[in-house]
Amino acid sequence: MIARKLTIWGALAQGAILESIRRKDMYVAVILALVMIGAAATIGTFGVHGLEIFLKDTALNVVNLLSILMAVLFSSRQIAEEVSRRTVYPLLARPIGRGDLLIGKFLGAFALSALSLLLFALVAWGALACYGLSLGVIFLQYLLLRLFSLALICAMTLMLSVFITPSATITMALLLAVGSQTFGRAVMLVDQTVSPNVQILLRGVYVALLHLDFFDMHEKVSYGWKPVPAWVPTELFFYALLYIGIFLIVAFLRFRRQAL
Amino acid sequence: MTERLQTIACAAGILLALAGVSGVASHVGPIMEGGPTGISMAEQERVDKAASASLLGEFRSSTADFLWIKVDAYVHGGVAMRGVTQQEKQSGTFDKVGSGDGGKENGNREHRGDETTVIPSASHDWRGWYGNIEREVSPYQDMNHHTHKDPKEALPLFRLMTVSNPHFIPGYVVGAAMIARDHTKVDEAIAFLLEGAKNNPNSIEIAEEIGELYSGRYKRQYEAGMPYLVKAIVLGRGRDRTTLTEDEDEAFENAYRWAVLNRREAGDFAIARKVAQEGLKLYPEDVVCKEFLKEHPEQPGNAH
Amino acid sequence: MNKTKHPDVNSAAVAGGPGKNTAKDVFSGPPALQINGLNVGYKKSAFAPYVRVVHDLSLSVNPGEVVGFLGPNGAGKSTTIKAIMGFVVPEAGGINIFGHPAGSTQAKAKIGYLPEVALYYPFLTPLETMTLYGRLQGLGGKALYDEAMGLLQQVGLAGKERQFLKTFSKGMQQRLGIAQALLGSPDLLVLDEVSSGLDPVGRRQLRLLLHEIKEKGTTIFFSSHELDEVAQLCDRVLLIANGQVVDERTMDAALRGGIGSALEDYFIETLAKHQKASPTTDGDKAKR
Repeated sequence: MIARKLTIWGALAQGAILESIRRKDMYVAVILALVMIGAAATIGTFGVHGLEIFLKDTALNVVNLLSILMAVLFSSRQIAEEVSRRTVYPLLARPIGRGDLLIGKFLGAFALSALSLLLFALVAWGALACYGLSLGVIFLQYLLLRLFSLALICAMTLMLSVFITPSATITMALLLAVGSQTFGRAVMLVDQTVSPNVQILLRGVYVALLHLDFFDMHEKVSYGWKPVPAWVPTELFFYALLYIGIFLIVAFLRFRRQAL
Repeated sequence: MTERLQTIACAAGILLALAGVSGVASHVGPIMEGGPTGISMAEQERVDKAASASLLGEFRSSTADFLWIKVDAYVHGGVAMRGVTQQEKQSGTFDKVGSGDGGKENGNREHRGDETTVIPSASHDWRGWYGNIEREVSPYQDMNHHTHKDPKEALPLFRLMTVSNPHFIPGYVVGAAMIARDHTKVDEAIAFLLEGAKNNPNSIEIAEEIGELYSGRYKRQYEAGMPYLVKAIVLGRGRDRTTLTEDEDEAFENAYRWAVLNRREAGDFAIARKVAQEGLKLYPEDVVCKEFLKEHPEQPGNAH
Repeated sequence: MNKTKHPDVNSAAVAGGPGKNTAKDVFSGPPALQINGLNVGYKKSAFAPYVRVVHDLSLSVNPGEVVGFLGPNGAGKSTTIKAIMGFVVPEAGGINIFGHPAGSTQAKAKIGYLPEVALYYPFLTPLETMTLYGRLQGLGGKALYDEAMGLLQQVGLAGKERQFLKTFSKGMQQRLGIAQALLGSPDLLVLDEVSSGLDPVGRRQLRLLLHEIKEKGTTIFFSSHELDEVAQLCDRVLLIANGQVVDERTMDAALRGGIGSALEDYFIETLAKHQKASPTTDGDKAKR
């Protein structure tokens, strides 16, 4: 049973990956990463010793931004394009459930996002290495947490895509991915200024909100901090798993009754 | 039709969210009066002190501002700080930020006790697990008696700042102080400041800093330094003191102090006394002026 | 409305001819397709009124039968087929495929489906597409490869297995669609507008292929506007109009004769009778 499910999910993911790679989606992003990081690195003419932090910070910001963008773009079109192109019919005509389709597409989008992240990270690492700058072991932890966050973003975007149109999905997903930290900070600032009832409400919203900023360690990498203890990525892994489960379940509840 | 409705709904949602954040930010004091559009020190100070500025983080309107934040973040190891809110000021329940290795004299930014870390310590944090995680994944440490990272590595950023905005005075002043931490490079620091003076002829801080470097123990060129200290005093006299920023006010007071010390070392006690007396009128608690007048009181025969 | 069900006593399957279904299967096993009181509708948007497209539709297809599903444009053929495949959830009624509820994996395991508009992944090759669908079907390894290559050859795509589908014409994509519908030798073929996009050569090849499949005893349920092929292939035809089965008829020599003209006459006359008997306004809108 599990082997059969893995075969189904694997086949769906593989199809999504092949399509996307051949469509050359990632090439544009990699070129963009090269251009952006390269442009930042040209400031090295001012003397690179003072710009180690600046270069690392810029490079990792580019990696962050582009990887989020790619994850959202890959995920937003998985189900929506299948339906609009009508390729979903021969798929769902097979002995697979709609839940299998969702999971397979999620895995495909996540695999593509992970591949993009690794490519961007390679570009960043290469650009920094040209200046003799290294990122340290903490960079590996940064990549690991980034992978978790991409899985979250893929699941969240996939969920949104079964409710709203692709363009609205991309807008909402990017807003949530980029803006969650701002909202969290705002809640913390006003926590002492509001009435007890509103405080409870705000704290509840804070707890329920998905904190993608917890998966971003680029500042620690840039400023040369030591790696974090093992419990941090472990607990964040389970945190991510919880939200991925919620998003996929919500997506399934909506998708299973949708007329195609 | 459906797609149009959804797009409108999304746009409305975004506007509502922005309105919500603005509404929240507006309750956080001190109030930010107007956004930072330039680099005048008055606005820079207001921005630095506004807690709500931490919401939008590094959303600044100029490269110099952006780089200033980068350097500031660098010397503090990436630990983000913000101004305290009115409520925090009143209750005193916030994590204090204080320097353990000197202020501007060592090329560091002054911490005047009105800042706190964006990420609170565990004792001031209601978030439990969430707070523990954030303290691990983001740069965070107890900043009560923190030491600064060697800012030397950030010097090119100061150069960049002043290139992108020649009127960015902290870029010159703090940059020069950092250059001068290497005692063999005081001339380089002075040259940097002279360039700043050319672009900012009415800057009290730059004039005072030049005079201070000339008069300090690694140059001891008192005659060269005095004109700049006098210029700083004249510039300060010409301003309404209530309009001076904290940095300008501090530079004005320092100008008096260093002028007193300059003239003392040069053996010109009469001028030193006059400067000290004038300085005490404006800054009655100034220790340097008080001590000098105590050690060298006016006596018949030494008034000139 | 004549709803008498007549298994065609002359069909090879019933006579115990070559194929997998014997008379015993035909008369004792569950029907290949059973629809009872099906009601399906749509809402174009959240604020639009609910439009019922299929009204109280019932039909039955026995194993080994080839049944043509005919009707004018907008009659509800594709919607019925979508309901059979589980792509839409009926408002009311039940559909079973060999005793399994429509949309279940057990039901889908027995079906080979050709959609009305056959579109496939533009950046995959036919072989990769067949492999993908085959793996979802539970096939794999060399057996899947051999079957995929064999089917592609059968539908006239030999030599094009490794070309990207974005280079394929509509007709070629339709051929691929037929090939993928035949993957895994399904017990029931559900074909929606099977000849759409095919040139005359392709149509003939398809007809021959469907004959072969029919001889093997596979049940075929298909909709088509090509009355020629319906006349030549089907054991029975069902006529649908305005979301209801208005007539069904066993294909006899009279209907088969005249290269489809007799069937065409029957089609047009029956529909006209139905229109006179129950005139409808534009679109039969049923508010929920």
